[in-house]
Amino acid sequence: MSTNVHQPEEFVKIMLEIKNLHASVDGKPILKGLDLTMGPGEVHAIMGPNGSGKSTLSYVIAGRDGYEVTEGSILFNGRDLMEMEPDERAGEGLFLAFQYPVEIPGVSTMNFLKTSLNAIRAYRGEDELDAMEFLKFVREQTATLNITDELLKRAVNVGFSGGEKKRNEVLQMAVLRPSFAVLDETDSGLDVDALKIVGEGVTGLRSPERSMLVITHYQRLLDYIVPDRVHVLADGRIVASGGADLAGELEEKGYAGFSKAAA
Amino acid sequence: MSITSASQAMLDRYEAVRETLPGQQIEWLAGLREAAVRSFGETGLPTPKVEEWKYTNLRALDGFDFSETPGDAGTAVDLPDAIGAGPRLVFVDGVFRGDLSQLREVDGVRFTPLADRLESGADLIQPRLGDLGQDQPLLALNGAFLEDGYVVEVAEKAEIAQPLEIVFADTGGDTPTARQPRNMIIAGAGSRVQIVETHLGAAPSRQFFNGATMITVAGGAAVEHRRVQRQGAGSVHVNIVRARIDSGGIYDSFVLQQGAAVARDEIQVGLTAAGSVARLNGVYLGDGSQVLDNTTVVRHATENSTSEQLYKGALTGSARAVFQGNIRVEAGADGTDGRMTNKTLLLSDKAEIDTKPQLEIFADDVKCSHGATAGELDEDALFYLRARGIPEAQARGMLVEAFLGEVIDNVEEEPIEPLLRDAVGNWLAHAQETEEV
Repeated sequence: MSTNVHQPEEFVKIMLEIKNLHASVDGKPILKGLDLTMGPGEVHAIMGPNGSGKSTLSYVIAGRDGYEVTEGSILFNGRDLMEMEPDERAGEGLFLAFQYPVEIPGVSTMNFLKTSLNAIRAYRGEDELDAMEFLKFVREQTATLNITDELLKRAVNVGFSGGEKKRNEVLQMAVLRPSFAVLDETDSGLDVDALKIVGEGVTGLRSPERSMLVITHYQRLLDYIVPDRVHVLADGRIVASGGADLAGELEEKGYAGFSKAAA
Repeated sequence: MSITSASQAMLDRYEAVRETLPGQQIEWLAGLREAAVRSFGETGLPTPKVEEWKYTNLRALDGFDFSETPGDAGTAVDLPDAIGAGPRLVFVDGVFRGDLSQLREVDGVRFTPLADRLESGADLIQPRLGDLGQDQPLLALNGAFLEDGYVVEVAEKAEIAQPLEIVFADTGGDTPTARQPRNMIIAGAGSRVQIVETHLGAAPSRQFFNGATMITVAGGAAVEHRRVQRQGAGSVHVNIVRARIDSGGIYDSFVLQQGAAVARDEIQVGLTAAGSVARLNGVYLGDGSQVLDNTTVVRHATENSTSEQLYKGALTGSARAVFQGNIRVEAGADGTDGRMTNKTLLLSDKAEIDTKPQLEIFADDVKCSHGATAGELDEDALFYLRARGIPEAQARGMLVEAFLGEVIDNVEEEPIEPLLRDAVGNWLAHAQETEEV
């Protein structure tokens, strides 16, 4: 086996620990023994060709119906993630930035953000923010992401451009302040300018307490968010791991060699 | 042709009470009644054999024994808060209750019970009662009994700022009763008025409500007609609205259908002159084994008239809803713009919607469209909300409210808007307590 799983001996605390994860969709095995361990504040990238299981991994972590874990475990801060509902996972500090953000007609972006934040605060036993406190807090976050008040009034993602949708994902991350964020192909569908805004927005959210798992097909987002570790996912397993320079290597040589290693 | 047992019971009841019906001493009215009851007797209540009643069956009425006279109407009534600061007429168990009403003089409008106008206002009332609707059995039945109702008469160019409210309350009880109010809205040229009707019933109740409202909207006038149907469980509710709109006039209707075991709100609009407009909107919320029917018939009779319809509902349990929308464009009615949309959220496996949009077009240059959808909540949207920390029940509630909100947006900033949003919220909360929603 050519796996070279990073063992984070230098970290006393482990935030996310995935062991031998097998998952199926509609009875078809997609993840086939994935191992990944991340500590607080770490940024890891998972790169891989289409169909390697990248999105499945993000949905399994977030708890989507239809993604069945058949073997293995995921511990988040030492607790079994599989036992939690998607909303409980969010309450515990998990966040998934969607590859395809969902349109919700009739729910304003502002109301959505406020309801989400207050639901998470309630989960943690914190008081809800009132309308004025919330507005002030949101305005602090929207400035850097170039998001207008007009956009906040519009229904969630309805009629948003590709760039607006992805900026909205980053805004949600900024508002909800998760301790662990999975970014599922956040760079897809972005032009150079939008990529810059999103990349810088995410980089601004990096902190010693916040870990990020950046799932991507291309290196370009990683020019902004320089990862601590890069993993190559092929055929449902991590087949290689390395430092940030591995991403450049993949960009140059492609995934072909790694896919063969997985076969 | 045999008639249903409920139909026979209504005829028997008429024979028993004919001499005591309101206004029976007025000769022309007694004559109209006789003609109406004869007309009703020919067909009786409609059955599913009649195309327009294929999806809504009134057989529940066969279990009602109408032979007893209900007791005193003096039972305490829980009236809802007034919606605005305008006058309010209250009818309890079919009887006008001045003591419970807010009788306020408002410049530019006469707003009274029908009984007050039968003699003094005969010039106005008689021609508008017409043949009492013998062309339709339920209208004929309503005409035969013709109980008290409300009359709104708005003077030319009068703009009535506050909504005029009417409450039809039913105190319930075991004795089946039939209520057949007849209402009239007469809007003078260039006038504006909003009318808010609330239909309430204590549960359980076995009331047959068969109401009829005749509306004339003169040139350039605008009538907003809001109806909140919360009749008691076990009741059968039929409400027929017949409106005739003159040039540049607007009839704007919103109905919330929530109560009764079987309910039908039927609107028949005649757009009779250029620039006339009908806007028909509705929300229905059904649970248990309710049947909630919204039927509309819009006739574009001449050039350049417009109709817009949006009906949306949510159903759980084994509730069933019916939407029958008919747009008829007569020959020569070029420039007609007619649109109709019906969308239903089915929140349980057993809930059902029967939707039947119909376009009958006899003119050449028209824009007409209809659309109907039915489905479950969007699972992608649900997961998205839950992934942002919103618990499942709350997330489902948000999506249902957002879905129905599109219709309620049509009455944005009206006095009735908060009531409608609360109705949806409370219905959902109840549905989530009792069923998997």
